[in-house]
Amino acid sequence: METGKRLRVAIIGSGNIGTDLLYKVRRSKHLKCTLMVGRRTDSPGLERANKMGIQTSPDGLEGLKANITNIDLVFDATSASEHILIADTLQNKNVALINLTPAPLGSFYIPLVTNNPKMIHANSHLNMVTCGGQTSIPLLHILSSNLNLHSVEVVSTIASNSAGLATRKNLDEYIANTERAISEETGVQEVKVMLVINPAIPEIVMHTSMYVSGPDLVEDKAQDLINQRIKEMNVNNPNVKLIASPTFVSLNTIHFAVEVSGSGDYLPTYSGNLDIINVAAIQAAESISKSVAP
Amino acid sequence: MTMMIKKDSKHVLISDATLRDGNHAVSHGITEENIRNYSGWADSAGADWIEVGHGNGLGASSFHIGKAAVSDEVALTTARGSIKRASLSVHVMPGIASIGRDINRAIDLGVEVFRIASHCTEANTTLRYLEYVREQERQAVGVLMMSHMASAIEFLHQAKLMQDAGAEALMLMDSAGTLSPIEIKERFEILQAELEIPTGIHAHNNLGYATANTIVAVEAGARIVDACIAGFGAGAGNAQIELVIPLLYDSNHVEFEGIEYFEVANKALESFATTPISNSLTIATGRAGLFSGYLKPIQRVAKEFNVSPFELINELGKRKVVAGQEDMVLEVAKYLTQSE
Repeated sequence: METGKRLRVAIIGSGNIGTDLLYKVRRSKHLKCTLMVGRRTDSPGLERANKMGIQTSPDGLEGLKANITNIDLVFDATSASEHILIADTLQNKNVALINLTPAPLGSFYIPLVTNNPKMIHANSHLNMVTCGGQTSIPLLHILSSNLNLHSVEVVSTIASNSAGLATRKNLDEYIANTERAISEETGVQEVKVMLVINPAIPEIVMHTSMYVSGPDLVEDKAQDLINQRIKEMNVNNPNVKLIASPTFVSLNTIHFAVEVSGSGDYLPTYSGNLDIINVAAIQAAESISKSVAP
Repeated sequence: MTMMIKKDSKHVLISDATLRDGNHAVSHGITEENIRNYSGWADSAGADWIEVGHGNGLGASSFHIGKAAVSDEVALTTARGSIKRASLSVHVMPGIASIGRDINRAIDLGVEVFRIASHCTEANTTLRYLEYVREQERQAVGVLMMSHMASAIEFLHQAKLMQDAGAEALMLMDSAGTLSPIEIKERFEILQAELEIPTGIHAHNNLGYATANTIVAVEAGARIVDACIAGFGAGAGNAQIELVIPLLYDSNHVEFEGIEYFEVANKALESFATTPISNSLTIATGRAGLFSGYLKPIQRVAKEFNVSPFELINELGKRKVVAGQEDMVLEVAKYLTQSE
């Protein structure tokens, strides 16, 4: 890796997530997209990359392998099963890997929460959890660090048009991955995650409700902590906003909800679920860039 | 013993949903004792399938939708112990229930019929669940909920996705009690002509059509009927089991008159079931096309926030909420308070 230069980035998976990432990488001062890999010659994502003058390959993993010497970091926006093969290929190649699939591989990366510098290096393998995880964990983390929480529930509702085939096929992995990440990052054992898909037109903006239970909860204190954390989240993602203030819904349980819209780079603004995970993935890549090529 | 009906048979399969849909009517408060007694009564009264669980199915007990008085594990174990003849069935909504967390345990506890449900336009969220249940050699039934929100043709397309994934039957749920007998007839005629698998009807009574819709669906080809004791179910309740069995007997679709269910109805009403109420609230949710399960939360939240339940229903209808969005009842109530 050359010092002081932008990290050379490949995006594998030229669907919605991958194409939106392409726009975000192009805006970054620390990253430069040098390769976009898909699986079909007629992929609209590859066509866009081509028009931007970026090298493309329709050959999937083989296309990535052929160019591996010119890459410092790979964003994987393929599928859970494909990710396992890609991770295997990149092992000990001095290429960082950012996992945007539901495969349970890599260290969880959640801005404001996972601050372990040892995770960040040229060979990093980071797991971006899920949209529900990226939305809820920063908030649940600040609450669990300051209050005694016994159980947590997270219910995200997303627009049907923002839920691709992979999401629909991987609902089970979505639930398992999000529950595991919440539990690991907050220390709360009793965690339940749900995902609801709503087909209304015009599309609804991603909406996440959280229910936290504990013996000594106070609305005002929760409100202060949530406000503080949303302010911190808004530095990198201005599209997260509190839509329902913390309110007791039963004796020991508080409900609050946030809405997450998208920045509208490639995907429509209602799909905050896709945007928030990409915004966090860019942050992850930039932190790797800063650590290896300061 | 698991039974499945043939599409071209005259015989109709009776699915008793009292211990699942009825849970909506009592805020998921059906007890272990209720389950033990009722599943035994329904079993000997002639039900083919007995559905048990939280109103929104496996894994749904939560602050979000409502905590059930009994865990899935206890409910299923209890019912299993009382049922000798019928098949034990569960409602499963992918996204709320997961395979790893919920379906595997239900298989271990002896559930025979898995009714995998989605909103009527989102069938592709159920495909892997249907395939998985088939692989485990349990009965997989596709369920499309809130059916009034898809056109008859779109509905057929979604049903075919489920059929292709291995669903052995397809249930049409009129979850809001919104469809009329004419619409039901049209839909079942199309399904009957285009699907290879048998179909079933799950009616709600918000607009007074539960019995009519059930009978019309059967005449148009439906071969599975969901019904509850005294109509005990979400919103204005479901088709009344002790009423539809005699009607189906008269038209030679079932071989028993269902007399035993009269006695069961009395015992159930004395111990835990309530007679569903048809009033302006249930009519308003039916007209607005709102999921019947929202009736209780709407009543509770409207009172808590001192807002008109009708305004709440109207606004929720405008936002086209689907099953599983209980948080919106709370948020819309807050929104109405602030905008006043």
